[in-house]
Amino acid sequence: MNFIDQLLRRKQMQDDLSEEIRLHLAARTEELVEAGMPRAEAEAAARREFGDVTQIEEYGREIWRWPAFETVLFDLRIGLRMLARNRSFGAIVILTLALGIGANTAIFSAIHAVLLRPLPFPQPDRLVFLSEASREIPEMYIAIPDLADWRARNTVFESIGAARFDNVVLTGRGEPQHISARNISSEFFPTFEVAPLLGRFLTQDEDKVGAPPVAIVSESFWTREFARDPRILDMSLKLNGESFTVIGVVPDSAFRLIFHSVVDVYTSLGRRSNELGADSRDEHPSIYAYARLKPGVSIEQARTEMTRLATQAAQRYPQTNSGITAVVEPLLLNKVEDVRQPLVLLATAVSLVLLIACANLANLLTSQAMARRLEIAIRSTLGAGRERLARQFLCESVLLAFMGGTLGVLVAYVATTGVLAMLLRLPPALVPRFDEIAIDHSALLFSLVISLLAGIALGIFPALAAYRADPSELLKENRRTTGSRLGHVRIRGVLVAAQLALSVVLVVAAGVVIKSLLRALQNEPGFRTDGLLTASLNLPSARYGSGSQQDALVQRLVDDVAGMPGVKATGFKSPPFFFPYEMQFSVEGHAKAKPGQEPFVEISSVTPGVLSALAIQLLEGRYLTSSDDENAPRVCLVDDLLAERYWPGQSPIGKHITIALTSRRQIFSATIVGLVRHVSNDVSGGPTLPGAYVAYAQAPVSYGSLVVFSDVDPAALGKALRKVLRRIDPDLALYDMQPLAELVAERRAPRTLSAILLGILAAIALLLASLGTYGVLAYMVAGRTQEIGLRRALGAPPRHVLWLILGQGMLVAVCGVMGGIAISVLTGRSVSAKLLGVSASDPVILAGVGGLLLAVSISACYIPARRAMRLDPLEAVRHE
Amino acid sequence: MKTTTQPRDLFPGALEMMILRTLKRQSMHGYALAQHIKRTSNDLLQIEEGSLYPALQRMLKAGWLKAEWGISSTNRRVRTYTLTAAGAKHLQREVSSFERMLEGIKRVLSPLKV
Repeated sequence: MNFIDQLLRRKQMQDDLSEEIRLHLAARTEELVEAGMPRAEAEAAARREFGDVTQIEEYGREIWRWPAFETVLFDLRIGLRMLARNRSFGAIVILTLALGIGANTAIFSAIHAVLLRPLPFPQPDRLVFLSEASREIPEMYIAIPDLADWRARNTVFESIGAARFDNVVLTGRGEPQHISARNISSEFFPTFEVAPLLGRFLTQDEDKVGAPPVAIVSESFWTREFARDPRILDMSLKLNGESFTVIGVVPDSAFRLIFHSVVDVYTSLGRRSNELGADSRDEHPSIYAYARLKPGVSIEQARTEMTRLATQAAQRYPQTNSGITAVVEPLLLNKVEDVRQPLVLLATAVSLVLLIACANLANLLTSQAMARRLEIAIRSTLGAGRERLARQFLCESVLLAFMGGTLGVLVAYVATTGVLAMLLRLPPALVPRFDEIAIDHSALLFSLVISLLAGIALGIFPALAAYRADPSELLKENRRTTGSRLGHVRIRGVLVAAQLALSVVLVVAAGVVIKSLLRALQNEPGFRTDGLLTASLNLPSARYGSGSQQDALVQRLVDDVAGMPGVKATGFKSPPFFFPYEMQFSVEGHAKAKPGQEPFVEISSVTPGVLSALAIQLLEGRYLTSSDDENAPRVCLVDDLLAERYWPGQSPIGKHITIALTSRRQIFSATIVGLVRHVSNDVSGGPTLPGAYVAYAQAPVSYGSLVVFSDVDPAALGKALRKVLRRIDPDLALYDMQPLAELVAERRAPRTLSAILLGILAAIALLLASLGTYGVLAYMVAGRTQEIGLRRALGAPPRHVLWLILGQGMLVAVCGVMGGIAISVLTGRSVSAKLLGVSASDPVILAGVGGLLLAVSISACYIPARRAMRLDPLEAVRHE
Repeated sequence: MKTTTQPRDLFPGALEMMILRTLKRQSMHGYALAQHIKRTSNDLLQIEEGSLYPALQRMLKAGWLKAEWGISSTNRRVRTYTLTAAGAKHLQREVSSFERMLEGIKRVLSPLKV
């Protein structure tokens, strides 16, 4: 009879048995009655002969049981009963586990969604991201002739698609609106192997100069603007004043991740190649390439090949290409690079928290087992087998672990939703794929398995102790002294010290991140943000192709805005905030750097009003003025960072500087007329390049930001600004309109967020570590109650007792904290480089954290120590 | 785990052997089996009738016996136990090992007589 069969037939078997016993008794009674016994007597006699019916039924039943399973159920019942009796113990264990597991599931779900989940394209691991690089710029746009060379000469790629950021105003459909656009090559979509939802993609002929204007729209644009009307094909869209025929609709799929934003319209790149510099290796016009490796080609092979091509180009065109290399990166890696480090840091932190939690649990369960030695002894003398006892302990800890795990899942859900809610408020460009985060089922399963394993692992120690225990020894042993047996205290001391050490590491890491964040927050960006509104503007090349056309429009716009009521200062600034132009420059009187090694400067082309609107501090010389126009001598301002580097201790005023504007052919030589305070373009606290400001009238750019300083409500001001622009040119649109303070906060948000998360994890670690310290000492004091009473009775002053206990706790605490600091210093070197200039072995942080943990552990020691000190000697000696 | 109490006068497995032996001759229902063992042992063995049933359950589970509900000669509803092939084999093994044991005991005890 097999297992399941038995299980199913068990009830039947038991019923049969009861029925049989009943029939047996009836038969015997009948027989006795027939022999002349009165019925009542006969019944009693039959029962007597038979034995204890209930017990026999029970024995019979037991035979049909599935023993392992049912004793487990029984053990679980006992476990639950124990938990109910010892609620605070259970609560601490379950909470500890729940926090550990919940935090781990949340972070690993995020890691899986963001870093590990493959891109939703066929064979995504064959997709790579291509860019160029120079010594200073690790990721640079690709010059069009270089891209053409790669296409013609490479042997490793199946296809290379290219895409370029484009600024487009859509008109003819209500208010002019700025939409997100890309220029793509005909290979682009085929490289990703996506199929159009409707229509078709670009042909090779449409990817050439002089091709008819056609557009492909994204699924989200099609939904938003056309309510998914299939008649969109062959309709025309007016983009930057030119009519484009819609030829296809492409699914959004992962292009949002690829481009860090939702793209609305794709148009042909080849059509514009002349205007972008088809034959210039100098210009790097916002083009990146996306390639698919041939099957079987590794990324290393591709890198070797591309290095070969770049070297050839450098030999052939030393003027433009020396020092320029080609970079091949797995596409996914490239797209999630920025969040990789914070996530890995967080993952390390949560793993530490789980470790601390486990150490805490081991401690709690060990003390629990020690406290239950007597119970074990009694139960084993009463006949409980050792295996049976060990199994029960295992059962209890697995039960705890499972409850902790379940609660942990809940914590994970709450944590994930909470973190997600925070993240969704950030611009998508800053947090790729965070919208894809959901509780990951494999992460969840993993956590549950971990919790069960933890339970088993944690149960093994008490179980082994129970197994080894000799009941008679235990019973003989004085109950009151068991607690202070040296071996156990030592194990627990080591566990506590380990916890403390891990907490130090974690709190130090959190301290470092928080410190760098605080520094970034304290470091005012160097410009005014309150009362400032910014909005971007793009001037399409069709109507604003020349610098003077651009300048004319910008001057008129700035003049009109300046005349609006409530506006105190205004100007136009290119680039927009946080999209720095990094340009090469050279300084008169300093040796010219070799090609490819020129230093970089962050250059801003501004109208005079920008500097006063942003309140950028003038240190020396003068601001730019409206008389620095097209016909005036070229002038510029530099910041103190640059001046310090080239003219330390000297005034830079009157010196000459040469800047490569957009390309090396457009050289801009200017006299320095003013020195201003450095402005950090990276408000999150990272390193920044020195800055220089040129007059917009002398160096116009086709896009930038309008900056308005006013006391008008941003919404009302925004409306008014749009109205002003419409009057000047109805086909232009202001976009990304936002108070500057908000924009700055957004840029800081990811750092703030990881600092908050790390802070929370560090707080949990601190809490767990102090619970652990407290637990061990409280237990120790309880175990030594009698001894302490004796000491007191023999005349030891209370202070003495206090120091005795404190000293024992402090030894553990000091060992743990020193160990943690040592680990922090040792690992710090590798971590610090990644943490934006803040050293992980920062002595202030190390000392502070060490002090904090010592203080926490002293207070954890203090409560039990004080209890010991206050013990009434008489009562303590009598204490059972 | 709890173990079923055996009648004190019997060595472990004795009751099972007696049941197997009895059923080898003919199939019987529980009550008759109890009466038969009691009778043939001349009440020398102090067996509580009830303890037969857990033994029967155990043997059913081991597959040595089969049980079937039926009607007895006295027109009562009864459950008749029959020896299975496995049960017969087990009995044989048990008897021979029992005999070996008995032989051993005899030899240990016999020097007194020699």
